[in-house]
Amino acid sequence: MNVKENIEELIDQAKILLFSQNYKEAEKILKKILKLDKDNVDALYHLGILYETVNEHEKAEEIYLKILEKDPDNKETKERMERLKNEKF
Amino acid sequence: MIFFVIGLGRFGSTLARSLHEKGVEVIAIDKDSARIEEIEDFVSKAYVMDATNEKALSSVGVKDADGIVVCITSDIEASIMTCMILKDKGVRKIMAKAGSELHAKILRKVGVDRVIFPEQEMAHRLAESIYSPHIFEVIDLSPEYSILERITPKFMEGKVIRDTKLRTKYGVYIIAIKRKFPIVKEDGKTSVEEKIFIAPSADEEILKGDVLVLLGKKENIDKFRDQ
Repeated sequence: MNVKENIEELIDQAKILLFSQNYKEAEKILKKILKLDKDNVDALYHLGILYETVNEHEKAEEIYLKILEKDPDNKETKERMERLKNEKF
Repeated sequence: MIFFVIGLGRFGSTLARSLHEKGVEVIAIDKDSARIEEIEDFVSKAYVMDATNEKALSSVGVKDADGIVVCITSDIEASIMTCMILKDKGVRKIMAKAGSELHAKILRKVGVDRVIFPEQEMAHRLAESIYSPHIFEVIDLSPEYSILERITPKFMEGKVIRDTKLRTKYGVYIIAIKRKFPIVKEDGKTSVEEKIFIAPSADEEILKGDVLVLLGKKENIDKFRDQ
């Protein structure tokens, strides 16, 4: 299996863990993906979603900003940032 | 639901617009025609009127209001007179913004149901959020009881409510849990949704990031808030 295929498989695994609310394991896998490919927007975005879900807003914002640095027009990420701003704290 | 907002400074106009956006029928009153022109498209009705004029106030049906918020602080006399007239008319609920402690004291004497100090309230909340970022809100229900909204402390993550011994050890009750979930939207993109579980059962597991809404005696809430 080449690196790209490996990453795709890891992303699928991370998503399954994320949607089943196993945030600890999902975070581990997403970070593993980012070690293999630090610019992987899909992994970054889902890590941002994970931090947002567990109310770690500063970490989520940091991740979303990383995405916007690479892709300033990323619509979903812009929406997430907007939502974070409107959260209470 | 019909609400009047009297006095359309920054606070009054924001309140009027916000209530209207929530579907409340809002009638806005100010003696400054420029302010009325600015707000008239964002409320149900808007009148240029001196609120200390009893006849004028009666003519717009203040008696039928579910509540009236008097947002006059620049002219204390006008604020007090307006509240007295409204009280005299038998308005169901009067809330008034105070600019100072003395102003607040007089408003209470007049019989205002709720005196608001927005700047002070916001300053307290900001101080709270800076000092304790895990605390979202503390609401005083009575001199004895408070409601606390906070992020789940680490020691409770992954436990079921029964095992947290919140009632026996801290004397506080979980009345609701606000929980976020990752979801897949119709377009296939991942997003986050919040759900609220009211009166969760003792078997409910508390997850990392859950926002707990807790009710308890003030001294118990105070003990629990810094956990």
